[in-house]
Amino acid sequence: MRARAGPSLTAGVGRILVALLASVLLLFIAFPLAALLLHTPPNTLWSSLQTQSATSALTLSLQTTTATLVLTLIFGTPTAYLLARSQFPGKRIVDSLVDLPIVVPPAVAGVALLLAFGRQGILGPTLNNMGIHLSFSTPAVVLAQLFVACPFYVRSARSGFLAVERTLEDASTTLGYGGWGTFRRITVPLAFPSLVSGAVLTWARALGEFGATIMFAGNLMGVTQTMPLAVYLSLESGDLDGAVALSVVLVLISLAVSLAVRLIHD
Amino acid sequence: MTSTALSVTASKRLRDINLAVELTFDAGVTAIVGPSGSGKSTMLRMIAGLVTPDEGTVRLGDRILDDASQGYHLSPGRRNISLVFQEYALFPHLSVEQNVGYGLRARRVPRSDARRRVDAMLERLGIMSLARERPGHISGGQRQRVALARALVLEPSALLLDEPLAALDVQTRASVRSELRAMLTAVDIPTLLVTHDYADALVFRERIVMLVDGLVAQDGAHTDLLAHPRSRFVADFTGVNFFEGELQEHDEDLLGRISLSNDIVMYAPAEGVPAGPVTVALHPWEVTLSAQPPSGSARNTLAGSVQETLPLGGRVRVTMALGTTGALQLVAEVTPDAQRALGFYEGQLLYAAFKATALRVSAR
Repeated sequence: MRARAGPSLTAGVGRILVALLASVLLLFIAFPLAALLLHTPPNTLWSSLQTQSATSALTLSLQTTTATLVLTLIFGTPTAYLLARSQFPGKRIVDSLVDLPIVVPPAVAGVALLLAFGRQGILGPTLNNMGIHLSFSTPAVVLAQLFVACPFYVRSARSGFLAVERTLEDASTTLGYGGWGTFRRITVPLAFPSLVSGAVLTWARALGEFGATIMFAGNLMGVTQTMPLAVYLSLESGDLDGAVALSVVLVLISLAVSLAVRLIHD
Repeated sequence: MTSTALSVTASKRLRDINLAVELTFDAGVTAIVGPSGSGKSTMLRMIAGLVTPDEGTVRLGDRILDDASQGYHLSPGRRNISLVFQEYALFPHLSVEQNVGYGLRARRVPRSDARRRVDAMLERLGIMSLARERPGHISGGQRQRVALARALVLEPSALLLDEPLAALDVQTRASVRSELRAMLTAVDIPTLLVTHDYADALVFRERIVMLVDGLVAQDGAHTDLLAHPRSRFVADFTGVNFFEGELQEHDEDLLGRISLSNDIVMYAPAEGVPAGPVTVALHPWEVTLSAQPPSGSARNTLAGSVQETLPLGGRVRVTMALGTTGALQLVAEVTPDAQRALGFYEGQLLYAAFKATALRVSAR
C-alpha cells in the first residue's frame, strides 16, 4: 500500500526531471546517427558504394555472415536443445561458457583465435600439415564472426526450447513420432520466434564484427575486408564519403534488424 | 476378455516413494485414486512407455511392452496405448483436426484414410464445427473432447487418462463427467482414469484402485471399499457422501434441482446433464452443521438428526439421518470446536448446509 500511495517518479516535479534525463540520453543516441545519415547527399552516397573496395566489402560481408549463420544454426541448435533439456554435471559451467564470447572484448577473442588456430597457434602446425592456412583468409573471418556471434542464437534458442512444455513432446512421442519427428513438428515450430530472433541477432552481430576479425583475419581487400573493416580503412585513408556510405548501409541494416526482432516478439 | 487385458507387475524407484504394483485391467474403466505424490501419474506414464520400470513387466494381452530383466522397452509410439494428458497437452500451433490426425500421420496412415477417420471421430464427439480452430480458442470441455478424439482415433488397445477433470471449472464439470462416463463405458478396452479426488472417482465406481505411497492400498468396487476399508486411510478417503437421485429441472441460476427422495432435494450445477437419473457426490468436509437454520450463502440446507459421531484425528465425523423417514444418511466432518459448541448427542436435530458447487453430479 505504501509503495502505491507514495510519490511516483512519473508525477509532479519528478516527472519533469525524469523526462529531461531521458531526452538527453535519447538525443545523445539519435544525434550522431542523424549526423551520419545527413552528412552525404544520396547520389554521392550511391556513387561511393560503386567503388571496388565498397562492393567487394559488401559482397564479402554477405558471404561470410551467411556462412556464419548457417554454421550457427547447424551447431547452435543441438547445443541449445541440450542446454534446455538435459541435466548433466557441470551444466552451469557450460551455460556460462556459451555466454562468455558476449562479454569477452572482441580484440581479445581475436588474439585467442590466433593462439588456437593461427600459424603460430596450438593447432597451427597440424592444420599446416593438412594444407589448411586459416589466418588471414576468408574462413578466418567466418571463424571470428562465429566465435563472437553464435552465443546470441544459442541463448535465444535455449530459452525458446525451455518454453516448450515437455508434456507436448511426451504427447507427440505417445502418438507415434520419435525424437526427430517430435523435434521437427512440435519443438521447432513452438520455439520458432525465439529461433528466428536469435538468428537475426547473430547475423547482425556477425555483420558488425570488427575486433576479432582484424586481429585474427587481418584487413585484406576482397579476402578478409568486411564492411566494418572497410569503413575503418576508408576513414584512415581520408575517404570520408566512402566510410560514410558503408556506415549508412550498416545503420539501415541494424535498424531493420532491431525492428524485425521487435515484430517477431510481439 | 483376458486376451486384451493390460497387466503391470513392476516397480520404479521415485524421489520419495517406491512405486510397486501388481495389477491387471480387463476391458472397462478402472479409477486410480490416491493423494498427490502417490505414484498414480507415474504408473500411467510407465504403462504408456514414457517411464521405464526398474523391475518387472508391463504386458498388453500377449504382447510384452516392458521386461526389465531383459532390458526390453517398447517405445511409447509402438504400444498402441493412448494417453490423455493432464491439461490435455494439445498442440497449440495445430488446428483441432491436425491435433486429432497427428497420431495417424505419425503412423503413415494414407492421407484420405486418415481424413475419413478424423472426420468420423470429430463427428462422434460432436466437435466437427471446431475442426479448424486452434486449441487456444475453444473451451475446457471442448479441449477435453479433442484430447479424447486424438487418443481414440488411433483405435488403441488401452486408454489412459490423467486427471481428465482437473482442468475444468465447476460449471462444466458436471456435463463433462457425464459425457466421459458415457464415452468411456462405450469403449470396450482397458481404460485407466487417474484422479486425486474420490468424489470424481465415484463416477467409475465399479472398480477403484486406491494407491498410497506407491502401493495398492485397496482394489475393488466402491461398495467394497466403503463397507470393508482395509485401512484408516481408505476409510477416510472413501467417506464421501454418495446419493442417487433424479435431476428434474434447472432453476434460474442454472442449478439443477435433484430430488433424492420424496422430501429431500438438493441444488447443484448440472449444466449439460440431461434430466433423469443422476448420481451426486459430496465431500464430508464441505458440510457445515448448525443448531439453527443457517442464514449463510450455502444453497443447500437439510434438516436431520445425529446418528453417530466418530473422532478422526483433528476432525469429528458426524453421521446424520436426513428427512422425515431418516432413510438417507449424510456424513459431515467438523472441527472439535464445532463439536464443543454443538455438543452432539444421538437424536439431536441439526441443520446441514453445503454449497451447490460442492456437489458432483453425473448422469447415471
